[in-house]
Amino acid sequence: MKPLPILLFFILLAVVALVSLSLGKFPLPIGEVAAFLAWKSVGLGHVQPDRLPLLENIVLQIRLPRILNACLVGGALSVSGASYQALFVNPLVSPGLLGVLAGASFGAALGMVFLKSWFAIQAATFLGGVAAVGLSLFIARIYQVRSTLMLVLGGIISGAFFTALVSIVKTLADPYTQLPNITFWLMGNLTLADRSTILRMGVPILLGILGLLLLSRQLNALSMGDEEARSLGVHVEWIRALVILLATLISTLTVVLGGIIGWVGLIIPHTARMLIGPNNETLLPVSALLGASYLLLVDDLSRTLFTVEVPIGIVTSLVGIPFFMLVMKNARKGWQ
Amino acid sequence: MATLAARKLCFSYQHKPVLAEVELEFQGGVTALLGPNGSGKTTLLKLLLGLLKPSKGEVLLDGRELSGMGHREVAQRMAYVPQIHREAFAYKVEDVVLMGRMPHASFFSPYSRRDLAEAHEAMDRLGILHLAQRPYTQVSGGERQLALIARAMTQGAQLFIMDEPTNGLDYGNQIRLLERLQTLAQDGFGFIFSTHHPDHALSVADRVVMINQGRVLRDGSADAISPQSLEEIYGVDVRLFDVQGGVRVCVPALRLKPIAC
Repeated sequence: MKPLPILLFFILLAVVALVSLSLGKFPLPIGEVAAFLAWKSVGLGHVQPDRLPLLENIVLQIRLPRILNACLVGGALSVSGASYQALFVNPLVSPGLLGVLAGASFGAALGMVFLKSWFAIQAATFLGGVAAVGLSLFIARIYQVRSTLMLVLGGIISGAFFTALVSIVKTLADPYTQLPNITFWLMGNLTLADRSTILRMGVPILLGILGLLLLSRQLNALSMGDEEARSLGVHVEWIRALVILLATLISTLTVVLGGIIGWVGLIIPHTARMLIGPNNETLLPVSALLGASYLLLVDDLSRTLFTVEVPIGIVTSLVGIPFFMLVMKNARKGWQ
Repeated sequence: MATLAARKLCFSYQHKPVLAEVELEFQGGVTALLGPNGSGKTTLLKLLLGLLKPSKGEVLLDGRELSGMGHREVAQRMAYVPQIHREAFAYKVEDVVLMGRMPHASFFSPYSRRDLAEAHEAMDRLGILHLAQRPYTQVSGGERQLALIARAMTQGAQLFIMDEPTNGLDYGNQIRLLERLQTLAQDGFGFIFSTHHPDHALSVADRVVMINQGRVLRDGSADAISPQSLEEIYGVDVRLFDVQGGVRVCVPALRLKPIAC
């Protein structure tokens, strides 16, 4: 583990977060936001007293939860993408590999049509994601062959199945009230989560990220092949199960927070690998920080570009595709 | 020195026997494992490493049953040096060698200064310290094999199990690797390696185990390699010649025919 790149990317995230706090319909000077945060957290700095209620309201009540949300979603998607890529030793792997995003979409759509409470919808989203990964694992097991290929095939089947279920729910939904909600959710949207949801999801997401970071050395060994890892003293089955569990957990929770946000889990690990190399000890924390910064910036775009907010999932795709093409050109460095 | 023993070792894959009643004991030195494709060489090595579970019989490491030992404990005594293979990730040579400290490092703390020092010492001993910061995937096959041996040394293992270590190496690197193996054996490391070249066995092994169709055919000194035993396992006509200083070489009859005519 190299502390220097981690520190640099942490500073990057802090700067991006500060800029994001000042951006919006009502722009604030960055210096004032910084002074306010310093005053609020450690009691230093000077803020004009008559501006306090305004800052309190805009920075803390409105923008901070949104920024935490973007950081959590971006960090979680990137770390789970990086972990999956290391586990499956495959560059085309993203957090959706085992069907988790399709399953969570189904859970969310089902919840929006049949359940009343917001909490119940969130629970359904989470359970949908877990069910989809469970189905992939089950399909992989049917064939008795313990190979990652079977797991990937299981994920494709499970993902396709749950995508079909989402379509069924959409046809059943009320086209004037429920269908637009479902559609907006599936486009990816950071506006939907309120403060208590963010806090409730934030704790398990951070714990999941931390868990994956602790497994980074084991992931390095696993990416050399099961037998080599085993001969290095790694409990291959346990570690693999744990990585899948944690990566699934945090990527399902991102759907609860922001719907389906594509591309982040694919391009951020790639970019991070290009910048600081493939060693997961450094790659995973850097992916988390870079992913959080990236989604914050994209969210800034989606908030400020037009008078009407663009769903962030659309922006991540539009920004992500050309970005990915650029990255692919240099991706050989990390993969060969 | 670790001792490794196979007792009445049997292994079947999908009800087909691959190995039957293998009885072997290793105590240091260099053992070459010869046998045709599909004879069960790789299976035997994997059973000895504990990567496969025997259908019957047992493997004993220092007198204790392998399946009852912890993975880390096994890894500290015995190391696997796989064939070189194309890796997807371009880890630095140093990172790969450091993986050898996995059985020693605690689960949560990062590698310590001591771990790094051990890795550097092993790399230095094998003459690849200058490659430490190079991507593992961009060094030559021979250097990659040395990195894997350095990793095995970093594990603290005394016994190295190698599956066709010279496979995929050019002629010069094959010989350099065998030289390295010989030097390390003199320093007290034990080797069990499988090979397709009787000449490699003749040049470095002090013991040869020949297997065919899952059974041990010969087990003894390098003298076990004879025209008869080679004919028996490979089905080809091979002659052995003693050249100066008791050095024995193996020549396929194919090359002798033009002279005979």
